[in-house]
Amino acid sequence: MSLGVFYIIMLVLFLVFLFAGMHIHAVLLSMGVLGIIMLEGPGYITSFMQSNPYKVVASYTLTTIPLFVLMAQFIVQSGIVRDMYALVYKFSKGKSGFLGTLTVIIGAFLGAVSGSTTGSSAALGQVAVPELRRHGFRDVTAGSTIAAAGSLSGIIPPSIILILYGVVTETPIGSLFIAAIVPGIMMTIVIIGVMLYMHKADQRKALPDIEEEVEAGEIAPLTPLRALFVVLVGTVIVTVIFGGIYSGVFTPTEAGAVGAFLGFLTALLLGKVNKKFYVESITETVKITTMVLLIMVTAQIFGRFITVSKLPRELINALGPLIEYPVLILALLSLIYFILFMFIEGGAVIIMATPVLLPIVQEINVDILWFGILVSVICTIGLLTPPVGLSVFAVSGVTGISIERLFARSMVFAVVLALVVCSLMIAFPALVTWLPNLM
Amino acid sequence: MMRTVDQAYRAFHYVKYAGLLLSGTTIFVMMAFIVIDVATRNLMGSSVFGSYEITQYFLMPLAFFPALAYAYGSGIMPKLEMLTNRLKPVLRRNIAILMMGIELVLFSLLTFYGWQYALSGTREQLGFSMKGGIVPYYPILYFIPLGFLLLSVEILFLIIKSFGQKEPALETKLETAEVDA
Amino acid sequence: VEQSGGADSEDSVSAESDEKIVLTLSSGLSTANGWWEGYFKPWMEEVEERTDGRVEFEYYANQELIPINEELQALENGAIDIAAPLWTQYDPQRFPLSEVTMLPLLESDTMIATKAYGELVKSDHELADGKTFVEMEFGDRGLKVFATPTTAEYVISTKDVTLDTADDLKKLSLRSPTRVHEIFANNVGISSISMPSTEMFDAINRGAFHGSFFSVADWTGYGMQEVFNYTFEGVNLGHFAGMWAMTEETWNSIPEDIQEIMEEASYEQIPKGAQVWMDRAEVIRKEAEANGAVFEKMDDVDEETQQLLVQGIEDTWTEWIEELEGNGQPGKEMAMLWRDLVVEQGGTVPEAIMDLE
Ligand code: NA
Ligand code: NA
Repeated sequence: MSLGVFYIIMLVLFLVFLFAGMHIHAVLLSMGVLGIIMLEGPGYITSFMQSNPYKVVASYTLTTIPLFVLMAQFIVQSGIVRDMYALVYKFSKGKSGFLGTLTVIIGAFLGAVSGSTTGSSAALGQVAVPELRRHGFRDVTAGSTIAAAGSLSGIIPPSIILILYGVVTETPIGSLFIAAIVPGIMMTIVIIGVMLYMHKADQRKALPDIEEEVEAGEIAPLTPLRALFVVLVGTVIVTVIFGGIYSGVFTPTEAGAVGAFLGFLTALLLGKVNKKFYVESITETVKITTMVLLIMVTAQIFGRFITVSKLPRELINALGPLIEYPVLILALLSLIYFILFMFIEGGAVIIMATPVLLPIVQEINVDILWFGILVSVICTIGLLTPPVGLSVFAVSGVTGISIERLFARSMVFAVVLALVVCSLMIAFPALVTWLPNLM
Repeated sequence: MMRTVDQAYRAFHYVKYAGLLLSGTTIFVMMAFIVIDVATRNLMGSSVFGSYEITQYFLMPLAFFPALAYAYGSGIMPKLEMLTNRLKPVLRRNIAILMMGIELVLFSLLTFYGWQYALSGTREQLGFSMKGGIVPYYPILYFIPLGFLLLSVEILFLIIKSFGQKEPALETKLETAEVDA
Repeated sequence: VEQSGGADSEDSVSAESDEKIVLTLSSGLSTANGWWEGYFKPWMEEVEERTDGRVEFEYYANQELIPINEELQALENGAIDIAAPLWTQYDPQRFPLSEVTMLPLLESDTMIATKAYGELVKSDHELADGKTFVEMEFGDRGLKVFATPTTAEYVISTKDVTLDTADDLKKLSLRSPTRVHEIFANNVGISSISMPSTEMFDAINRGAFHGSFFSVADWTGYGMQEVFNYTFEGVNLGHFAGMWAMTEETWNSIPEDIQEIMEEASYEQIPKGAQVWMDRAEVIRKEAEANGAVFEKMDDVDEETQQLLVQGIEDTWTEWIEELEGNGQPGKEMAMLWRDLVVEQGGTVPEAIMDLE
């Protein structure tokens, strides 16, 4: 059996498992284990199977996943978000599109305090999906918008992806952070545009039973006192988190814990804390955390298979003869990254593919800083694409909307983002480079 | 036969629930721990507890492994159902049993390898350095095989239950409150 | 599947001289790291060339294959043939004696420490029970090791905080990358912060704490050239080192003439690797100075601080020795051997350390 046939069989098997309804984590794990055994023999998996689960999970940076979700739980359960959205809805004179825009912008701000995309998507999903639905959004539109808005944490600094790229290529991390600002804003605008278009299109169609689905739940009338309290709490939380990070009191990772603590204090102030509150909050938090981490663990083992298969390296070798057409190479590199990010978790792709691709990038005289931003944009988009799209899984997990319905819409975001933002970046590299050059 | 299984599964639910509480409380403690660390660093200029190492080596694994079985049973793990949903229930059940069977093998493997890892960690007395001393973390490694074992048992129960009915049993129907009460 | 894998088959390395030997090498280093560029990469190229292609390396960097600190297990269960490097100093539990190169000195540089380290690994000086350093630390684990270059010296680097008086020392909070740094920090009253290296850039930049024990040559690996603007070089806070490692079983399956080439190429490459670090430090330093960064020596701080620092060095040695002896390790013999090798190569240590015997 030649290697080409082997890869095709593996791909087919991957799709069969996927469509037979096997859990995503099990698809990744079985393909990883099978692939490594086929290529290197059964003894080879021992190392990965023994240490990978612990090594992946035992990470300080990943604390942002449980802690941002916990924060969202506390805030949602204290009822404050519902009031906040009601307030904004009132002020915008009943324009639901405005609420959607606000949600995406909240996602961008969340991105400015959080480096973790899944944490942001899950938190935002819990907080905003029910509210958007309450104000006339279709669940999938709300869900996919939030998956996209949460992913912004991957590009808007601080970002784990940018730090990883900086460490792997020894590119100054500060410059990467600054360079990512304009593309981050561009992505935010595109997401808002796609969201508004989808929402408009939804409104033209009759909404199928949505009203019934949204729990009627009693909404306490918003008294001026209550409104004042809501505004006050919101302001305090935002000020403490932004102020804390930018004045160096705590790091973006620690902001997760501080945010959760503030959420807890709020609930305490409102007298909501009791056994039920505690158990419900931690139960939801644990479910999301475990789901995301289990996918990361199995994605790592799948990634080891891709590593030993040397597939990325072979793809690169195939690019060799095209070296005289830099634009073509760039387009192909983007495509390779896009495909890798579809199947593999972002950080793993940066680590396995970037060192291999870097020489080619240098050979065609592309700025490494600019390329890093391009890769990070594609990585962020990859969080929205099937079959492995962590942002979509996170939103699905917290809202119960099925992943295939979400993927159908998140793919629209992904494709439009890729076409608009990547093309603009390739056509006008200065969009990325002028800000860091100012410094 | 099925009644015994149901009873056993009901009992097992308490074990899963204990795992959930352990993991969830760990996350709550993690929050408090990091907040205290931020406070002491800013007030006294020092990480008093070596919180990064403790969070990384102890708390994160404790937040994950014990709750695996509960989370799986809650049906939160993502999967694609667009094709299988169009099939007849019995066929759907059989495919689900096959898929879960594969999963059972995989997680049994992870249980076995996790056990080996914990044993070798114990042999080496694995530790991390904190404040100039060495803090052993190897005992925490036993939660790896434990977590995967509970997960395997959960999958095994779901497979057995699926055999006994015409549709696949993909998640636990018991509600938290039922156990809680 | 047609795949000439590295450590795949039972007999991973074929001993037949006309057959190609494929060795799987795994590294936790980034390919831009000075250790990789200055030692492991050129070493592989040299071996491939000198063996006329009889040896071929299949390498993975960036923890792409094996995460840091898992190399030992990966070697033992055959997932890899060579650990490049084995991070002995992140693993004081398993490799207690290897920490010795982190002990603080007064003056030395990468070349001095690297040569001393090379000598240490070759040394036949018996530490205890008739065993040398390498035999005690690696022989019992069935490992074949070569020395790597050490890193440049660790120094104190901060953002916006200078060191002038003893009081400044007490106010300082620094990230401590290794256990010995924690001991030293404790002895001179510096608060030590624990934090992953990937968080450090943001945290120091925003003033969450003041700085870190760090080696100038490695600043670019973490973006710290944009952060640090004050460096105190008066105390040399040790040299980080690792080991090129293989299992003896795999090593013994390699024909002797190739073993010789591998070993020779390694010892020839070590000083060149040290030079790479030194050149890097020079470039980074020039650039930092051009941007207004300050580098200070012992004479730039007051008398009291100098005494405190020297006392801190001495106490760190004493504490380290006592702790190892307490665990049944020849801590004192080890420390004295390292001291002698460093001094032989031109380094200096406080008098009290010279007087150890
Ligand atoms: Na971010
Ligand atoms: Na994806």
